[in-house]
Amino acid sequence: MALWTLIGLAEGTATTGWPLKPGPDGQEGVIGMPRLEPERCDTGCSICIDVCPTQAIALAEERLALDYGRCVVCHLCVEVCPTDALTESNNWAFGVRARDDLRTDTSVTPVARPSPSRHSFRRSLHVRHVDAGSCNGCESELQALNNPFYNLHRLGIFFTPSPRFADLLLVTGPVTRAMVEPLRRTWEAMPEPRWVMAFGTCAVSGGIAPGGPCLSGLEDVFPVDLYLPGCPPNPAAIIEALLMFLGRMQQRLHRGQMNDQ
Amino acid sequence: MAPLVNNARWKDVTRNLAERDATFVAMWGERNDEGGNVNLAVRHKGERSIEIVSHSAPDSHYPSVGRHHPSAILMERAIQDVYGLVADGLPDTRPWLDHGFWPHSRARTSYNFKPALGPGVHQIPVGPVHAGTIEPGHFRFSVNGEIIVRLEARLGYVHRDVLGLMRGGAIDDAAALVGRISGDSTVAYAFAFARAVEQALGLTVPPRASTLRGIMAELERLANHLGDFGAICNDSGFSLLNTHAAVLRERVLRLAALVFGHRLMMDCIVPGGVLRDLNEEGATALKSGLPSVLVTFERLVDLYEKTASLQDRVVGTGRLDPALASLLGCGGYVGRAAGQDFDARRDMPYAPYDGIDVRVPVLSSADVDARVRVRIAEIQESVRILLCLLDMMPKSSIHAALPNDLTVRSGAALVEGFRGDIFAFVRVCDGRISDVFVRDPSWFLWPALEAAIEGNIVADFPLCNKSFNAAYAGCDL
Repeated sequence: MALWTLIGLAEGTATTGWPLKPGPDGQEGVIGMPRLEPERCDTGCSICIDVCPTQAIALAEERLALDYGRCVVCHLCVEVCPTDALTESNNWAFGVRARDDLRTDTSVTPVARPSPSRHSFRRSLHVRHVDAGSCNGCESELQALNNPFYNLHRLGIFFTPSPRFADLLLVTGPVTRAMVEPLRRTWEAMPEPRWVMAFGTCAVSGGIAPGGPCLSGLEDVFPVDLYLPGCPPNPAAIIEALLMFLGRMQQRLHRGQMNDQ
Repeated sequence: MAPLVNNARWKDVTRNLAERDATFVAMWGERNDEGGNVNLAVRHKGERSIEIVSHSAPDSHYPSVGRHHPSAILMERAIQDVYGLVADGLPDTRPWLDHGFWPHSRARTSYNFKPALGPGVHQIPVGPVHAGTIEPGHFRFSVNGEIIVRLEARLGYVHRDVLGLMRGGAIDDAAALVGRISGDSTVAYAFAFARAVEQALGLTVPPRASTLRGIMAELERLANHLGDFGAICNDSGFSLLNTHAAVLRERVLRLAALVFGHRLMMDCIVPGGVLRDLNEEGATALKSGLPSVLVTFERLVDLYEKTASLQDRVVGTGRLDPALASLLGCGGYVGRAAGQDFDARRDMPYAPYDGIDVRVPVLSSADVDARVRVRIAEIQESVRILLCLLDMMPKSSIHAALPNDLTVRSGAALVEGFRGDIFAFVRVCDGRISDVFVRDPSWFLWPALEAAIEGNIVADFPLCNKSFNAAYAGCDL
């Protein structure tokens, strides 16, 4: 075992300096949400609307509009678009406080749910995860947060086994009807103040499986304080969203547009 | 389309299963105007293809297979819930996926767990919300002191009816959905589905696409096995190995993202080929990154073998009777750790594995340690196969257009995922899916886990469970 301490020391620090310091976030090559530039769409072919498996694309006042809260990043629309109105991007930091910030349709004004101040939780947030119908892709990326590269603990964010210690309820999946009651009971067991996060496209909008044995996302059960679409959201996107929620980073997506575009 | 068979042939195939001349692969139902059909897929001993037979259920009843062969029981219960087709003679008629909350639920009474009686025997209910970041399911332990007398798993919490959503949809949409049945096996699911569609349409994919599929499938296996290796050690209280294994897993996921644009490689495989090509830079990154993962991994294996406290927990724990593994048709590391010498890559070869000598590790001790050691050998083998595929890398296109065929055609495929063989069946007509079924290996792992845990202590359950690592979403569908 002593040898392993030495091996560990010799290998140096695996943890990324990001997000505390500028530097690589470890998501090199990850293809993000598609970028929509409706002014480039001059054919009006609407193939993208037909091909989207989750109805994320629609026409709003004869202009293409994209709801990132429905996007599962399958890129079928990018593949079929003949005019480059839909292109690949490397934007994935899509954590927002207001659901309407995920829509490119600007006719609606995004309003975040008024919720208790999170100031005292800035450096100590305890998260309770509940899978309510996820495909386990989201769980895979949540588990990665505890590996030495991301080392979520150093940021003062912890996953807790008990809802009694939790501040944030993080829910994945479209919310199957069989999970509504366990989900509600988990929330009831949490002390106040408490917040709710819709994690992954399925929890945000129902994703691939709205209706039938499922509800259409977490909003059908609770008011939601934080949304993060993605299929699944990558570890850096999760860290950005949580830090944004705690007021330690800026929200980057407003009205469906990235700040740095 | 599978031939509709009469009672006699259905009984023959059932008898083949009961007498172990054939291995049960899958069972699924479909509704039609006359009531419905039930389809049964089996793999006959020594044959390299899968036989599918269909039995009509005109008044919603058909003769049970589970009555004679237990690995069909869960699927017949699921068929009853989802399609309303009833297996006559099924020994366990309780609902499986249906918890009574669906708009069209048939389950109306509360679920009766099987009793375990005796002085001092009591129950521990666990789930569906668990302590860790895992999927939901309920476990009912009947224990006597620390010893588990009986475990019963109750799943169905994550049933989303993905198959129902796929039916009637376009092939491309269905491919996006199939990759989201079980996220950790997204490549294997997409691979199996694509091969079934291609078989139905008589399409041959370009050789480069096949090779790329193999690379993706092995990267997925590698990442998952590395994660499991660490997680099993962690559940026995040895977190050091988990931390180091998690680093290796992350390195593989990052390589996948760098090369194919997605950490889990979702939506990369589509019917007709693949959507992401491998460039020179990516090939170089894989060729240098993978061997270095293996070098570090060998040191972890050495530590695993030399740590007495860890060996004490894993050796002899959670032993699965090889006869039961054979009866249930367990595949993957669970089956191979219990003497089941089957790997679809070798025994029902498909491109790109038909040109490669796949070495399959088989052990007989069937405990947690054996399941870890099968994973260790498969990690080493996966890296070897990956380097072999990278050297092959034929030059060709990576996608062939699907022919538009107005006739009804069906196809089936078996693909080796990291948990075991994944079966896909599809019936297509005019570019749309008219019927589909995808069977996760976990259907056979859950009953095996229930049996393997008997006589173990409650504290060893997480360890045993992790060594099986059966999927919830994969068989809740």
